[in-house]
Amino acid sequence: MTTLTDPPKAGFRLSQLLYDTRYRSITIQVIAMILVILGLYWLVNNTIQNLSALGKDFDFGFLSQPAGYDINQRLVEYSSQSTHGQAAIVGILNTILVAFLGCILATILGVIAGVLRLSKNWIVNKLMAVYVEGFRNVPLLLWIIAIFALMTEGMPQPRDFKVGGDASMILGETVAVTNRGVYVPGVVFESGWFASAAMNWLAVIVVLVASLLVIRVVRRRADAIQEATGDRPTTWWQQLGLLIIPAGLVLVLMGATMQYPYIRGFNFTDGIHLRNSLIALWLALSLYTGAFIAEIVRAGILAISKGQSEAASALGLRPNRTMNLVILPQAMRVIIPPLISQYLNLTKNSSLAIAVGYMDVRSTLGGITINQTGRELEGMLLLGAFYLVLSLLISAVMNVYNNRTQLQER
Amino acid sequence: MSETHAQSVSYVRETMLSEQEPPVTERGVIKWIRENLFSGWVNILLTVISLFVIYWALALVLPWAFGGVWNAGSLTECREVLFSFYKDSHDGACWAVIEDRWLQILFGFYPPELYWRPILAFVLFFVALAPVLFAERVPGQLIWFTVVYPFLATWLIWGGAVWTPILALLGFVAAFVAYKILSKVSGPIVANLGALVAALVWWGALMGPIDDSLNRMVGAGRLEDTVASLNQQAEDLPVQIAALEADAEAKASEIAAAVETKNALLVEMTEIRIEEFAIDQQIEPKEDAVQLLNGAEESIGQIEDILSEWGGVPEAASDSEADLADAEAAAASIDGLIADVNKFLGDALNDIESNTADPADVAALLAAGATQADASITEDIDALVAKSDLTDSLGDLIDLATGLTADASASDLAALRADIATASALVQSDVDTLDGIKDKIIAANASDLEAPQAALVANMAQLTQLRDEATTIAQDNFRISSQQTENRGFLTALNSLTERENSLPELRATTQELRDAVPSAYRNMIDVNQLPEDATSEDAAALNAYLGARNQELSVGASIRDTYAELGRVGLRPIDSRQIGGFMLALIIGIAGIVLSLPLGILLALGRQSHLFFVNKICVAFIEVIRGVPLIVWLFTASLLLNYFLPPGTNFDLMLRVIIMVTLFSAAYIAEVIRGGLAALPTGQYEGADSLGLSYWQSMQLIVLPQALKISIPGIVNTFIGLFKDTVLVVFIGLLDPIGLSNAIRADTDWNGIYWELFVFIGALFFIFCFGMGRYSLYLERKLQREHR
Repeated sequence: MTTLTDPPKAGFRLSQLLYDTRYRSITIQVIAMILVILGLYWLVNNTIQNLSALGKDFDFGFLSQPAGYDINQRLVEYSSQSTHGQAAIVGILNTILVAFLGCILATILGVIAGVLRLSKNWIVNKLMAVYVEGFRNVPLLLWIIAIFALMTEGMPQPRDFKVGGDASMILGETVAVTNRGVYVPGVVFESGWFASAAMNWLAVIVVLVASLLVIRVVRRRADAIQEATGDRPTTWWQQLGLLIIPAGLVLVLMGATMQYPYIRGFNFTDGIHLRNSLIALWLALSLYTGAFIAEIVRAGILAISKGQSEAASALGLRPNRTMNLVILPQAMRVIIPPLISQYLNLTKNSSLAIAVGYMDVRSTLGGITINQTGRELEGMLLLGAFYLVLSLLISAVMNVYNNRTQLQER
Repeated sequence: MSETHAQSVSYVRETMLSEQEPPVTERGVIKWIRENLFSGWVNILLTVISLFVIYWALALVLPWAFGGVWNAGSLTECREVLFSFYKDSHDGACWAVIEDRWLQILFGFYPPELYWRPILAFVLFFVALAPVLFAERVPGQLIWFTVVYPFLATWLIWGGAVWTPILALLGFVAAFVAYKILSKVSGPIVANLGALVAALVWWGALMGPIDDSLNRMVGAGRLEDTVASLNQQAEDLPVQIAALEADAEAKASEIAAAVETKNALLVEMTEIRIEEFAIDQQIEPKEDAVQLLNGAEESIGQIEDILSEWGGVPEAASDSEADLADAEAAAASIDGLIADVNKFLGDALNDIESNTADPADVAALLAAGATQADASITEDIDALVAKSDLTDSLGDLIDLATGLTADASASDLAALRADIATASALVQSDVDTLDGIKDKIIAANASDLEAPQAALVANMAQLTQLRDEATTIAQDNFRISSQQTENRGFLTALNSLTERENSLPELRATTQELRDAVPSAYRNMIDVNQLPEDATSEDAAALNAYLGARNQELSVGASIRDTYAELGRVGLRPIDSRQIGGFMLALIIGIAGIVLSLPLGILLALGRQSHLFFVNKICVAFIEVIRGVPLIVWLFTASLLLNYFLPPGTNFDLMLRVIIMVTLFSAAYIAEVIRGGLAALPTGQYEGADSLGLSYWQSMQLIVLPQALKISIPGIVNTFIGLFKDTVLVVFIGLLDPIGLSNAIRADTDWNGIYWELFVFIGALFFIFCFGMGRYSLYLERKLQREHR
């Protein structure tokens, strides 16, 4: 009789590293690792040699040296005696400011344009198509410098606003659009709790956030009652009160008063001066990204099958409730992921500030600081790291939101 | 029964009524408009707003765009033409700048006589693209052209010897041959590595010497002929230059004559319009005066407001500091306003007194021409108020205003305000009359102006043509002069060639000798900076001498190579990267970026999908780092930092550095697009390939990638659109893309102050390209959807 025996157990042979799929993946990874390490070593070695040939070292000490240059738009205290590190922070805040403002306006524009592009109204539809295609197919840089040129070349000078001049302020004599920028009313704290205006604002924002948290509790309770009894208690006045009263109280306690810009000499004083560079960058970024968001919103709404809206009408829901309760919650799931990447694009595109001289982080840390200290390597590394961290942060935050909306899917 | 029934029903229709037309409101255009534009109040509002926006935009843009000037030599001339047609620079575009510079915006500073090279490369691009995009409609052999195309296009655009691209291509052949041979002997890993090594060895070690020896071989045989022809040219070229200079002078005098004619025409028109200008001069100060009077009226209104708010003269209600301060501030602002009123009135009086004329004088001014043409003008002049009346009433007002104090009564203020309003109305009526006169003069002059206007337009066209011809002559002249300079340099180089070749061994020996003198620890240093602190000054001197000698040796060697390359070149005239610019630069960077990044992108996408932990993580890190940082930072890295990362002494073209950076950048984006394509393939495809027993690379090559890449084409096109638009960012590191050129054009004194025409032109170029590609990608998407069903 025959006996079944295992094939002879061969020991490990070297050729298995190449031919046996069990081991080959290890070989490939080791080779890849060696190649990558060799490559990195080559780059680092070259850098070290080049740096030493130039008589430079690798040192971030320049961040604590005095910067010696002024920044025309600053959200925190800064003077030319401050350090390069502080200049970088001012730049970072300016980048975040324009990115934040841009994201908000771009979303508003994008949603409006996206919804209107789906309108049955032929004229509105085509008008929005012109907007979307016009902005999507022309470089952003061109829009930025065009809007900047419009502001500096097309707007009246501040002295034209004097009595007897040709220009006049808009929105009830409160906002002046001039070729030096836009002057809008500002809020000053006469008896603020903190010395700097930024801290006072922070206090207001903290109160607002706290109010929002309380409002959420109120809404949860209303939801619970609705679940239990079917009746939803009227809470809008509670919500409104909670939103307005605490923040308003804080503002009153800190002696907040509106300060309107007015012309003095040949220029405006008081109020907030939004420079042309900020306005041009903000508008161009928003209009450009808004065009992309419009397409995303349109695609998101189109992705919801017609049966959904038909079923909603069959249930007797009115069109706006159909939109709010049926279409949008589903469309949001399609819309959010590409929307995140548009926010990221906008943030990265804000580095085009260089075209109009807006003092963002690229202009301070990655521009003047590098030129003054000759630390290209360190400066560019920090700049790249900042954008990378900011991008990862935004995508992380938005991914959390995305996961929460996605969870409702069954 | 039935009969009675028949009687009671007098008429029964036996046939169906023919269908009636729907009412007017329910058919055709009206129905469409009602349903689509006016179906509800929101819709009506939207329609009205949109129509208003469209009207506003068109009213702003169309007259400007179509009322523009196409023939002019500078912005000033544009304005002259516009002015002679009663327009200012807001009413008409100065398209002349585009007419003058469009070739520059398209090609940068590429030599005009060689434009055929990039154009040919661009046309061939579509031929090379055909097998990829329309595989089913073109012969399969065309794919070989696609493979060769990148080398061909590089050669066409940059020029140089014909064998350089062939030698570069041979690197891939070497890799392929090595792969084939090794894969027969051993496994794919060894074969792939072998192919890589073979290609690197070819490009790194063999290609340069072969190129040099080819140049040398061809060059050595040509030396004498070249020297002879250069000498011949040295005699011929000055003659040509002299001829061209004579031509240029003739053209210059023609242009000067045409400019004379233009100026004469402008003077003629000014003389015809002189009365109009005279009236303008009367209108302006009066308009100013009206504005100043209105300002005074407004200020008095503000005084009244403050007084009524305080119920009289501002007085503090209590002794509290705040109240006192308030009252003081109010009193101060009243004083300020009173001062304002006085100033405004004084200025207005001054305007009228010193800058306007009496009606009689105005009549005298106009007596000559227009009054005869239109008799009613005389009546209008009679309607003007005498200057003395105006000044008197203003003088009275000033007397009243100087007496104004903070305790003025409300009635006084009201009376003063009313008086000012009357005076203002009086001046305004004068302004209106003068405007009427002006219109009549313009109407009277219209026929007289027609002839010079037409002559001016014709003259401008002629002038433009003359200038174009002059530019051509200047370009020829420049070309021949620079050829002359180059020839001289080349001749000197050829004459010293033997000498330099003979000196080379000696230089080598010196370098070796000096190297031996340097302590062995320091021999590999590339700069004296690298010496440690404790190095002696002798060592430093020795190192310095060695480095100097080595540099000299290398530069002599390089100069010999350059001379031979020029001498032995069989091919096209080489073009410097700095000469490439404009839209062509954007296209080159965009296309090169996408094409070069495709292989890398595919590898990255496969790596990101791979189960090999380490490979996967490297790919993810690369993709995320590249995508997380803006392109502009990468471009600055290319221009500032790339030299740090490469071996000491490497220094190459900025454009090439940009292309490398853009390639890495777009590879990350392409990788994500292809990853989407890979993910979109049903898992059955992967499993099917595995079950057939195909290896990983076989299954990728034969099953997965052909399908995944096809799905990815729309995404790749979209990435290309984004990259193409982003190429304008190279302006920030000093390359001349369209926007950089628009800045350069604006820096020219002729076109200083021109914005919108350039923006519109550049924007339109980009729009046409990107919109076209976007449509194409949409079409592909639809086609793919259909094919998938």
